[in-house]
Amino acid sequence: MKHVALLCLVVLLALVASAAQALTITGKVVDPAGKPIGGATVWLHFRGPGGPYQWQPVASMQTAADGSFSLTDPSREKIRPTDAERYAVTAHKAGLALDGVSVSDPATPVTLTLAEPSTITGRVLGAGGKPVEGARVALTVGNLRPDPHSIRRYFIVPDDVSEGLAVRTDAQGAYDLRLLPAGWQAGLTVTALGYGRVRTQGDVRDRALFVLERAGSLRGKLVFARKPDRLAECVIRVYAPLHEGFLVQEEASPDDQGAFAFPELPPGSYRLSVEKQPSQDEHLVGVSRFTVTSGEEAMLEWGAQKTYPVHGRVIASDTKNGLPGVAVAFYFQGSDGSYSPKATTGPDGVYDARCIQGTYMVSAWAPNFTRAKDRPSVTVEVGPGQSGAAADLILDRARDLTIRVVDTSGRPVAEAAVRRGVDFAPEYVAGKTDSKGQFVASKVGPGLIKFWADKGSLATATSRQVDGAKEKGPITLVLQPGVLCTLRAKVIDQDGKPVSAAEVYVHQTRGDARSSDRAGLTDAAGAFVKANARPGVTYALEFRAAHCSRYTTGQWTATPGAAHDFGAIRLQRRTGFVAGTVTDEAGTPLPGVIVLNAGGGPETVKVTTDDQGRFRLEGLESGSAWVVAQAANRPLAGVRVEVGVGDVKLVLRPRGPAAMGPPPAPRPNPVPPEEAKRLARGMLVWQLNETNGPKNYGRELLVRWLAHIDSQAAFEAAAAHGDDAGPIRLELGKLHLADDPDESLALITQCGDAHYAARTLYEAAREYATTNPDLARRCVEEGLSIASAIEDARWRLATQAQLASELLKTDPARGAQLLAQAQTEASALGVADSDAYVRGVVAECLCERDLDAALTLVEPIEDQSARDRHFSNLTRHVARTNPDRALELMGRLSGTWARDGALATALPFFPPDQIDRAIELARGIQDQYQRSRGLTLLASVAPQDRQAALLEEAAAGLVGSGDGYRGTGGRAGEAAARVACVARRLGYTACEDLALAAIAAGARDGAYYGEGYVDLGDEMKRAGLLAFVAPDLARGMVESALTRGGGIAKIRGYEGSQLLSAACHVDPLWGVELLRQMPADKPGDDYGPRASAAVTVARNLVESPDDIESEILRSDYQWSWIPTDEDW
Amino acid sequence: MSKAACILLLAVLAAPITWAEPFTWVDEWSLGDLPTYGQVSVPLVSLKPPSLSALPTAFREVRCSAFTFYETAETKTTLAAVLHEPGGAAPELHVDANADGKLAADEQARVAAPDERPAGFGKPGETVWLIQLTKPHPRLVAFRLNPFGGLLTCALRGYMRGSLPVEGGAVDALLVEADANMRLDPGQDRLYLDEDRNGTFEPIRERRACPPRLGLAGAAFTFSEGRLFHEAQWYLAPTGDVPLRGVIAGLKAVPERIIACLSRAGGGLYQVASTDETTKLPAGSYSVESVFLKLPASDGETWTYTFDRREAAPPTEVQGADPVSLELLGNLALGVTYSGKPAPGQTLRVEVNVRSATGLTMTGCTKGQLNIGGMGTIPAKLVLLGPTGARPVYESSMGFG
Repeated sequence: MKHVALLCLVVLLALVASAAQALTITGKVVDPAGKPIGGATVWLHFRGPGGPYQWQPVASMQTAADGSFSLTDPSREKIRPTDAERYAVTAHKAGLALDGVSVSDPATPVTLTLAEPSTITGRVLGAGGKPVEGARVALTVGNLRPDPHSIRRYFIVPDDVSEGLAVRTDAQGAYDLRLLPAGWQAGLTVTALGYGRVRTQGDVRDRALFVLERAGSLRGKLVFARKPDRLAECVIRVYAPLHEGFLVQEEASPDDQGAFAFPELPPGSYRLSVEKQPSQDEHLVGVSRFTVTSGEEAMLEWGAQKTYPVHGRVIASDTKNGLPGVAVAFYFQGSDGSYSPKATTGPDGVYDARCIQGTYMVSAWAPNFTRAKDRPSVTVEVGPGQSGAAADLILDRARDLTIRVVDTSGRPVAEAAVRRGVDFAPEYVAGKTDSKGQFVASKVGPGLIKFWADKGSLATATSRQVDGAKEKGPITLVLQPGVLCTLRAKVIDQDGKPVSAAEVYVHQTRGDARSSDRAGLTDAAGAFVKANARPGVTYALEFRAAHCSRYTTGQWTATPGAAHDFGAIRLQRRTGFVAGTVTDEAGTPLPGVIVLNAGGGPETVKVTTDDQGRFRLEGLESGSAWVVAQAANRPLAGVRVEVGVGDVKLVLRPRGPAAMGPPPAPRPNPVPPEEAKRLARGMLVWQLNETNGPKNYGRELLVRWLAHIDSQAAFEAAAAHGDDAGPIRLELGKLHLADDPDESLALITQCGDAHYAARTLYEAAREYATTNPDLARRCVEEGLSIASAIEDARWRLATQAQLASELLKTDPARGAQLLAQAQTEASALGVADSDAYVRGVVAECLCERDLDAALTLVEPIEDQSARDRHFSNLTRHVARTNPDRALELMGRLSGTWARDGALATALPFFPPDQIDRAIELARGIQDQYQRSRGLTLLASVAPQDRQAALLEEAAAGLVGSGDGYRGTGGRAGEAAARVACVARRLGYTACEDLALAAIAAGARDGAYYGEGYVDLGDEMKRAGLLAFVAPDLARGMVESALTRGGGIAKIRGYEGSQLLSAACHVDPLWGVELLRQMPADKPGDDYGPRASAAVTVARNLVESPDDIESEILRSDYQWSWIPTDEDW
Repeated sequence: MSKAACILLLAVLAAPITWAEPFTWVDEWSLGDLPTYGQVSVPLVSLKPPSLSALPTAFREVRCSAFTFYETAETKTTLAAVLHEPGGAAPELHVDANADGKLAADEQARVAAPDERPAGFGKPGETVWLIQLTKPHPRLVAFRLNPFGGLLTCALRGYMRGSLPVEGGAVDALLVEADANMRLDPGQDRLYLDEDRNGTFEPIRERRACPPRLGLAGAAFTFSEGRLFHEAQWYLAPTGDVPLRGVIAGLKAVPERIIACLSRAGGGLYQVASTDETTKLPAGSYSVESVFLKLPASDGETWTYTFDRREAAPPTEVQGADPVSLELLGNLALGVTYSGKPAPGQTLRVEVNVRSATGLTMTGCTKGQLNIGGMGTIPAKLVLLGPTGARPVYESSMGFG
């Protein structure tokens, strides 16, 4: 027994000793010639789970005379493979540049080289462009040398280092920071008294001009129903993106009453978030926004939301036992990514937390476990009436697996890259072998995993596939010559000269897996070589060089040991430039103004004016370009110029008093009516004669619109093709409904499709409800009559309910009786798919009479997004009479995105005496696009003296809101263009400014993707809207798009139709010209692009621009309820 | 309808009170101030209708149209009308009134005198033509040009009257064949009911769509849908609630959830949410519109199926005091189609269409959270074999049955 106790003690001591052995990293600091540098300061940083910027210092020391250092992280024993690149060492000595390196193997000493620093210079200017003396300029972000293209390249310079190395501006506001080697990028922070603190986004190279505005302040209060118990731990964060490339990010702690203050905040639109919730029972959710204005104090109350319980268990898949100490995160299924409460499991694997009402995706992480592939997360509903019980989260046990890499003679190979993939996943480097040729792969769980390795020209012939559940290891990988393949290419410009430093991206495809990586740069001779291509993988290379068009090669599938030369790649150099100056109205140069080419693609070039207000945009395509200048607190200025002009003068005037005039007079169609009809008729008949084959959508459109101009010709065309004349009857009926109801109603009911006819009559009843109640009633009666012939019982029910809701206006008793019947029938429907849709439709019809009955229909709908949509529609109806109830209903929506959308559409329906409240609520909408929409639509119902400010606020927020991903710029640009259209109709006098805002907002489109493919759709949609506000501007955009897309004949599908629409809005005769250049539709093409285009052109010829604009403004679901013409 | 057929129908319905009476035919354009004709507008185009063997050679400027009338419920007759527009003279209308494919000299329509015109048919001053048809039935029809252009409008004279026996005394009823095709069509043709028994039919308030089924003062009337207009009859259908049990033949598992949506002829949707308990439904004729099923699978997951009606199906009569069983799905028929060349190494796209005996099509099939089926096609039980004799290269099964 004694021996056993002794043995236990020995083992225990050994364990303690092993735990006490902390991680140590050694190395040396030298100059570029290799001479040691003593007395340099060295820091060790660790990157936590918070993201690439979250480098935390863990140790520092001075180097010895021989330049050596030894840094220890007492909290960790060793660097695990997953910790690779989580450690970094930086060094600095006065007069020399900083250096940094990421650490993957602590056993390998690190060498840091301190070179001569390059200079980052610039100026800090304040109000009126005057220099700010004594502003503190500090380096806060630098990048790490070995991996300049990794997302982990940035590190935060520790505060004490940053403080110690900061410089101050001189009397001219100038600074000179000598801290980084040439070519590195820096993030700078400028702090100045009265201006607050402004940061760059980390991409300063050698020069940065700061133009500061007088700060405002924020005083806020956290509001809880019950006093929170952990207020002291809470940290409030505010964040605001300023103009391009600058941001503000500050933190503050609330006092014991929940009050907090930010005494100096640069002007901007801020978002609040919270670190560590101060209460379990109520949570602060990061949806609050506020605006800071120069010299003013903003006040804010941030109300916490009630939380509800959620609980569940995390178990191991093998033992089915609960796992203690596992981190569990709850992801709110809305757009508010900052709200994701966390919990940890107890001894029995059970977790218990509280979250605000909503739907959550729950995931768990534990060391030595992986998430089960068939159930990586579970979803749980949290809220009143919900149990909050989540299904079991299952984790698979994982372990380390040792991999040995040897050559063909069996000798271990050090520094070999070991790669790993799980079935379908693209390969990635798991790590490198140590000096013994060994590598430990961590977190190997159940499932098939492939390993392979390579070093230089050696590689494993095939991957080694192991079953993670059974394989105990170690496994051996043998490196062989003649396996890897070589890819070569040479990049030249149009003159045949080599293009050096062109970026090369490698696109790889293997089966369903694909990946794209930046592989490096071309050398001085323009050559690129990739020597480690793997057989079986299909490769394509993409080249990007400054001021050149991009180029992607064709594909090549690698075979063992083969080499492939893609040959000489000729990049077209874009040499166009535009230069000039930006001044104020007095001619004083304005420094720090953003100038960009906008709306003319293919890529946005953005620069900042220098001290003398000068700018130069380079890398433009030949032709003309829009040049837009943007500065805080001034309307945009823009001009269209020929590329190559060097003396462009842009004048940024101060923002004048917002002006609203009378609504503009109706605009006539530019083509005389008879001429327009003749042209439109000829074009439609010509297109109909070209349309053969079975009936399609395009042809139906053609005959319907021909009926507007010449019904006899439409009937002849339908008969000639053997098509049914029903759609023409319907069209004629709709067209003449107001002037000849008897004939029209008869034709509509004879159209041959009961559903179509009844829907048409319902829409007509709504349209004429106020202007012609008798006709509206007849439409309802006829509609109810024909609706009973709708074959599908669900659509019959939906249409009958809609008609009954209209009947309420003239025959309340019968309308109510029919609605009650519809309610009974709808409650018998299922809760998914089209049944759910019909439930929603009936609920909308019911809601103004009986909201509870409507809710009863909508609540059981299974699909969350469908339920949200119908709830959102109900809130709009309820907002007219009971805004509080509408807001309460919005609380039932599943996420912030849905709530934002519902709020934006419901606010304009608030009673007129609650307009202030509606505006404040609109300002609190988190999503920029929805906020802009809410403000614009509120402007259309607000008193005239408030309209201008609301419109400007709606447009201003959209500039720069696109985040660079494809579509976001387009969405912001379209929204801003809609603001401009609405503003024009309301009588706003500076619509050109808003049009420029739309161009600037849309400028961040991902203009290129794929091989030589230009995405013009969003750009042309924007142009189509702007044509109603600023036709010359829109004309330039369309001309540019035609040039870039290679002419209308090559621009197909959505893009082609948007371009043609935009051209027609600018000038219908231009549309006629473009239509003639379009290729004929293919027989059997159901959509018929040219047929649809012909209809677009015809409509623009014969209808008034105002009508077309109205229809487009209503055409988007998100904006569809925009007030009618009678409301303007 | 023959008496024998009528008796047979009554026997099938086997309801406590069932009788049928034909409505009476009235050969007039109007009843008091109420226009009682039906009308239809058809395109007037330069193409010769196929029903006409040739156009008279003397005609120069012509436009033609074709009207379809029903002779029996299944047999229809198409008559051609030709508008001859000689330059400088009044247009003439010629109608193939005997449906022989020729335009004889006596088949030219005459211009109606003011007192012959159907009330409200065309505006004063517009030309209205009249002609007596001999086929498919002797009817007087009126024609005019539609003011919107390119259409010829035809009005068919005559309406039907009758009365419906309900509590408180019979209600006068008037049938107007609004689409002028000589056939009763639900939703199209119109029924006026003198519900306030004041002896007149109010144009809007007392007008109904002619439904296949009509509830009125405790009685339910079934109109014979698709019958010829001039043979219109009604039957008093059974009323009261009937206990109904939904069943699914051949379903081995006990469903976790079931929602069947039934549509009652003449209007109304009803839900059956259990196969264990009966649901009380008003007597009538029902068809299954959709079935939503959740079934447990052997691996503990849940399968969800959605069946929807994509085609018409014969309805089931539900009546009487005893529980009635209604088959919701019945046996499932699997239709397997594939595209691509079935050879090793080739991609084969296999689609399985599942159709129930009650005429429903499976439109959704989901396991757990993963939707493996889309609209229309789902993988049922698939075993794709590799080269001859090789093991299956892909296998998938659904949990149904």
